[in-house]
Amino acid sequence: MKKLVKRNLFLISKNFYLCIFYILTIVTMLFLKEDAFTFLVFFIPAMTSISASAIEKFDSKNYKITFSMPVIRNEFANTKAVTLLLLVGVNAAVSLITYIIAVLSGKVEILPFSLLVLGLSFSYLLSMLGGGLALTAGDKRPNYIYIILFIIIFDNMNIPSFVLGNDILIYLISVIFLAIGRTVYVIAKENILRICLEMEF
Amino acid sequence: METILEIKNLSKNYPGFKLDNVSFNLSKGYIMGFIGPNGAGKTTVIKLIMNLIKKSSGEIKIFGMDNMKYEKEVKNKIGFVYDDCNFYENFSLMDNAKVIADFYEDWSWSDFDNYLNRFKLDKDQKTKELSKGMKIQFALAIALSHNAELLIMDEPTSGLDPIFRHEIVNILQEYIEDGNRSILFSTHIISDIEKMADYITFINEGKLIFSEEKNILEDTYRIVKGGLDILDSNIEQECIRIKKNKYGFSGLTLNHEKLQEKYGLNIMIDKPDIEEIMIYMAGEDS
Repeated sequence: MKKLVKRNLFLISKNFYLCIFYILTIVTMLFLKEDAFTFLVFFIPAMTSISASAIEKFDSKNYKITFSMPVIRNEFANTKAVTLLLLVGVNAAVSLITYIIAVLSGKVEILPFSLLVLGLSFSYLLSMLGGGLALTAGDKRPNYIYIILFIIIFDNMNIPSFVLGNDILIYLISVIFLAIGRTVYVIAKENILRICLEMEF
Repeated sequence: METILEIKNLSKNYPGFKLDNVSFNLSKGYIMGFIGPNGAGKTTVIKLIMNLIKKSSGEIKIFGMDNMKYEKEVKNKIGFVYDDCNFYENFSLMDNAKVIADFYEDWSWSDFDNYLNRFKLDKDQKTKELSKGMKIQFALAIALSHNAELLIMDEPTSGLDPIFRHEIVNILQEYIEDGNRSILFSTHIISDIEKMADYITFINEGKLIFSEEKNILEDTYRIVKGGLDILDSNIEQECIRIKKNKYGFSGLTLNHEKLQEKYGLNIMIDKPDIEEIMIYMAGEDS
């Protein structure tokens, strides 16, 4: 599995120019819009989806080669799912670091802890949806679509007023997001496995 | 002789095509030419060996191990070259090798460099920029750089010029020299097979026609020719297949001595080459 994870990260690194471009766009938006919550919600899933689709872009053309090598399909599918989690983790770390820098530089206000949890749990759910879809459906959408979508949503997203200030409700919603996110991950993992096992060339 | 590849009653059903109970063995140290017309089922057999498609029934053992149960162990010792080997098109040859090398226990970078030098391939060149022949050479460099004991090649020489094909044949002969490695070489270019194969396995319309030592094939089969006036039921019975035209007939037989004895100088007996045997067996112009 270690070899496969290494391979997946290598494939992503080959699309690194796109990731850099995307990071710059999102960070610029954060500093212009000064909205840390929306930034946290969309940075992680967008980066995860882009990275997952980068893996799938390479894999979809090379399954015949990949499965002719000493690679077990079960292991390959599981590694894709693990890579998805890994991407969420790395992107969460990058987004938090960016957020902290933005706070320290006085560009954005510090978020209440409950909203930080809500933002991260929502981004987990969206990451599983976006990343899972990219890995199972073989994402063919051009990557700039993510950037356009992000800019549109970033500019229009508002938290409903009845949620703000109600920490219990916020934590409850966060738990629901995490639970749905986990379910989406399990479904995505099963789908990746089914697709890999059924694939014929 | 140690058997490296053992295929027993292998079947695969597709809508409109059936690979039907194919069985053959390949021993250590030999090259098997795997021949048949286009659409005969050669690629299907190779895909089944590589577990790229699911078999309907049958058994495949490689190095004595089931190819599905011990997939990783088995594939670690197999080198493969496919007709459509594109690898990661946007990657350089070196990046491709980096992705692939990790998966093989016995990968040798020095062997890989040697093959690239020998083929005059630039490791920084992208795979998509390679010609068809260069892609095959690169695939061969990959296949030969991890100490594979079995090389499986699916139509590697189709579409290549004779010089390229000659070079590949030479490399394969070198590869087999130590007696511990084997090659399954699928092609419909019979001249490549005649140069190097020890065994010939011929399939047609999904059925195994024969799997035999090349020398035995050449010694066993004969082409009998004569005028239409002497073509009778006896000749028809002794021939596997007969072709007729307005000048006479020709047929492939296993009993040329019997026919020679009976018809004497009225018939001519010729030694067929593998291509002729294939054409008669495939039923072309029968």
